[in-house]
Amino acid sequence: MTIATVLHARKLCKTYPGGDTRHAVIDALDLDVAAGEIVAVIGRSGSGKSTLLNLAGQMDTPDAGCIRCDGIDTATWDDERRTRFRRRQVGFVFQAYNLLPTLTVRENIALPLELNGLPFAPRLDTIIDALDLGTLAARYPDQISGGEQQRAAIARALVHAPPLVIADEPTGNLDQETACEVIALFEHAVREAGAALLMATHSLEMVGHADRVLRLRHGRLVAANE
Amino acid sequence: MSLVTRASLRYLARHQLQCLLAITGIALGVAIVIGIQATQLAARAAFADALRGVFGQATHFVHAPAGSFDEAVLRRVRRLAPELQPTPVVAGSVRLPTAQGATSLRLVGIDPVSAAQSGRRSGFPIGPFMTEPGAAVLNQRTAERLGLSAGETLQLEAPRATLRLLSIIDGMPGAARVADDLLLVDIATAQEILGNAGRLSRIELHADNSAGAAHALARLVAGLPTTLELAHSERSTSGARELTRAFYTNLDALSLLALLVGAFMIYNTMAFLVVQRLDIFARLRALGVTRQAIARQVAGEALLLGAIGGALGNLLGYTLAAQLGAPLSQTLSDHYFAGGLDTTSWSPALAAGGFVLALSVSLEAAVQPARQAAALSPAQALSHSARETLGTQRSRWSAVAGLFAAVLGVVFLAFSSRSLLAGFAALGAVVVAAMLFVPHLVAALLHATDRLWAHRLPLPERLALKAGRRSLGRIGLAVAALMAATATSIGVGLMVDSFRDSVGNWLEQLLRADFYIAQEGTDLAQPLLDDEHVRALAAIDGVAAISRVRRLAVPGPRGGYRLAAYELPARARAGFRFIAGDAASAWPAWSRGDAVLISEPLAWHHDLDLHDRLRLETPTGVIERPIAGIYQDYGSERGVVALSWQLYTQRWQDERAHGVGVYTAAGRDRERLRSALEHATQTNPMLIVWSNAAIRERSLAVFDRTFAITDVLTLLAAVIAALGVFNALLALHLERAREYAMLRANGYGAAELRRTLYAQTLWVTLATILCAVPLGIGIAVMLIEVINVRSFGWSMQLGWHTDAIVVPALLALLAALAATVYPAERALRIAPAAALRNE
Repeated sequence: MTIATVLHARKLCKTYPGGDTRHAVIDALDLDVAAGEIVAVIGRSGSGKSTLLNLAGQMDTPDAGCIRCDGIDTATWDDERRTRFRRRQVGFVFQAYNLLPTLTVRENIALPLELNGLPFAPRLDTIIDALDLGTLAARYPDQISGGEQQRAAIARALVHAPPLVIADEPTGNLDQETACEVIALFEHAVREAGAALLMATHSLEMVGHADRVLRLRHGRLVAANE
Repeated sequence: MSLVTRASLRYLARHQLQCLLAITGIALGVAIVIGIQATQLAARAAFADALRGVFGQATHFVHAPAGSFDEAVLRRVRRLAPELQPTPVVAGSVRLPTAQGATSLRLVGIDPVSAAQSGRRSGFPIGPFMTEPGAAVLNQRTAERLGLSAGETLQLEAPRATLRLLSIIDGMPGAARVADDLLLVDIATAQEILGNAGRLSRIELHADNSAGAAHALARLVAGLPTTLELAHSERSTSGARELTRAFYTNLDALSLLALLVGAFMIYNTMAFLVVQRLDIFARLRALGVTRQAIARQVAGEALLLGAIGGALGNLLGYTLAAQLGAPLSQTLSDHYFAGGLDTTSWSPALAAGGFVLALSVSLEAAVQPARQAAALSPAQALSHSARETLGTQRSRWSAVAGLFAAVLGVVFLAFSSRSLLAGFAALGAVVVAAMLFVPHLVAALLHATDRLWAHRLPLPERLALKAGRRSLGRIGLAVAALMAATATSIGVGLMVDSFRDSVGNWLEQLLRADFYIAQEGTDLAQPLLDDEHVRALAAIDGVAAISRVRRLAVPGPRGGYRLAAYELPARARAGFRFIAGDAASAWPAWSRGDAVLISEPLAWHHDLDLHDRLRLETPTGVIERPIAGIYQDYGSERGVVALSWQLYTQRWQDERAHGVGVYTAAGRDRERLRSALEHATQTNPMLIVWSNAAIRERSLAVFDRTFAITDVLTLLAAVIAALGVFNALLALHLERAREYAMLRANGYGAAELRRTLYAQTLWVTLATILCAVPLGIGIAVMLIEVINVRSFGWSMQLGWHTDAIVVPALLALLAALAATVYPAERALRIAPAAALRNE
């Protein structure tokens, strides 16, 4: 049986200005993520983890190389096409949660459903229950704790069943105990949804839940043990 | 309602103060435009009223360019053209003392019998109107304004006369239409009060489009004496409209300047509401919301706030118009015509214009930063440097636009020499260019200060210097608005003070006589001082010499020429300051009647120069005289041709004068002479004896009243600018709450932080004032050298008035510091722990 690839990147390059020259953060990087796979990317601060995730999630465009999603080269995609892709195919979880402060927890989670024109029932209540957010659903983000906010962000990332979830240091702002709870819930929810997860992390706990761990070094990915 | 819309509306609801400021900014911007335009509409309506016939719209009238004419002409006109329903009118102006000071009213004398014969209703009892001495009629609104009721006695101040208010009427259909500030009296009463016995001001005619009316008009033209003219109402008023055009243009320019500041304020506020939410937009973009959807959302918000601001602006605008109506009405009475302003009439077109303005500026202000925000990739927008990036992008564009505006200003000036509109366009372009450049200049000044002095400053002030420089991306627009308001205030103040100096010096030089006997009423009314009367005055013990003047008008291009025929002793001639021509050779030619002198405004409006020949129609035929000199004169914006008394008496064969100047003999008691002069003129209530000082004081009081409205408008612009600073600082300090919390967390005390926040405002405002002062002086130079010359033809010297610079600068500083209090104290109240939380 062949496992489908949700993300296929080849010779990706991304540079940023640094003084008189441009500094390559991602340099001829190759990456494949299979459906349902949990991939952890580790590396030192500033190694380009977030840049890689932004490129993978179509939040940013590479200077060179190609990214194929569902077998389609995204290089020619315009902003609208990339926006539609993010809306339908990707779920994001950020270190800083990035919930909308003016929507309640329930409304924040419902937002991807509304954007995709999907019915709220029964997915919304199911995911709220799965992440144990029922009692917090009517509260605003600033009325709940960091761990609770991250659970809401995970629910938002999964509610519309995207094939790819991208998480940038999802437990970076949480204490160890809360981080462990969130990691367990996150892995369970991702596996339950059958989504692939590409995450950048420093957390050994998170790494322990990954199917594959890659290290970002000199702008390229190598196996963690290399 | 979609979740995105809900999130947006809740954001506005959570940021009520900023929404309120945005709405206030929009409302104030719109209010200024509506206020000034409503006042102008009212002024134009009052002006049209003042020119319109009492009994409906007269299509034509018979008048004498030289002033009034013999009432015997009426019989002739009636005989020649009875179908045109000739109606005689005697008109002039009177002053009525009120609790608020003397007010000018138009006195119009009519013949109700001839009106009734023409089939018109009076709307008041004709019998008592004609038979009761001094019976007068006012309209309801004027009576209410002056607090008068029917039956009251009106004691006129000038000319001295007593009237009785017979009736107060309120626009009956088909009846006499009594305009605001118009005292309607019987024609005989008007002739008596205005000293025009047996004379008429005009005969109103009503011609339809029939062939009969055309024939009647032709008959009339053929049969009228040469001293009289048949004028079409529209054409005859065009000259007068021309007269007030410059006045309105100046008001328009001031309102546009206020609008410019208002638009910056709206732009500033709306842009903040968008820029502050960059991270929220980025989150939405990450979730798959399109750029267009975000732009639509922002546009919707802008339209909502714009609509509320526009509605409030309309209401505020009419309130402002009511406030501006009184000083403007007084100015118009002083210079142009007596007539009250009805600023309460609602104009749908004006209201719609205000709305469109509010919506369009709000939309433009909000959508542009939203577009810029949407143009960033979500990854960029989520980064903390994104807002700074937007600020940099905006400031680069503003520098380019500023350069373009400056070039445009130079082009406007270089390629126009007479156009007032081009002059205002150049001034506007210079101000806009300065507004676009000022954030860069302020940043450069703060950078220089930082490099030169920072090491000598204590930490709070040093941090403030750096923070001030960094904040310009955020508060640049507010700084620009504050700079424009301050510079305008300095510029207008310097111009007004310089103008006042020039007028004061001119009066000082011109008014050489100790006393002036002047005739009240219209200045072209029947002259009362005949030769015999003048000789009697000259013979009074203690009189060393006299001068006299006769004013008249003759037909000519651009509404004709105003003439002043002077008899001037040698010391009076010294009062004329020549701008062109040599006084030594000009006076002898003028005295002989071989040449004329013209005033500076006349030279400008008629494009005349030294040695040009002027063609004048006189009762004894057309004469042509060279211009021997052009003299400075602020007395008339239309300008005057000065003739010698000899030429006048010879050509007009008339020796009557409107005014006499009296010179006291050396060593004689002036007060005693004044009593003697008053005694000699007491038989005629139209003649008033003025001292030299009283005329100067009265003239300067009129000058001050004229410019009172500019004070109101520049103050309003300053209030809007201060509001803009308040708003910008509020947004800035909220945005930097985390930064301040970091400082506090590291042991920086609340007192030090407070010092930093106030010092930041101080640094930025001082740098802004440094930019505003040269621009203000530049505005004053342009107002003096370009606008005043092109509007009125008046030249003047720019004078140095420290208070005109220091007072607006101090006000700007105080306003900015006052605008800092709430945002700073609010920032200080935020607990560091709360600010350091992520959400």
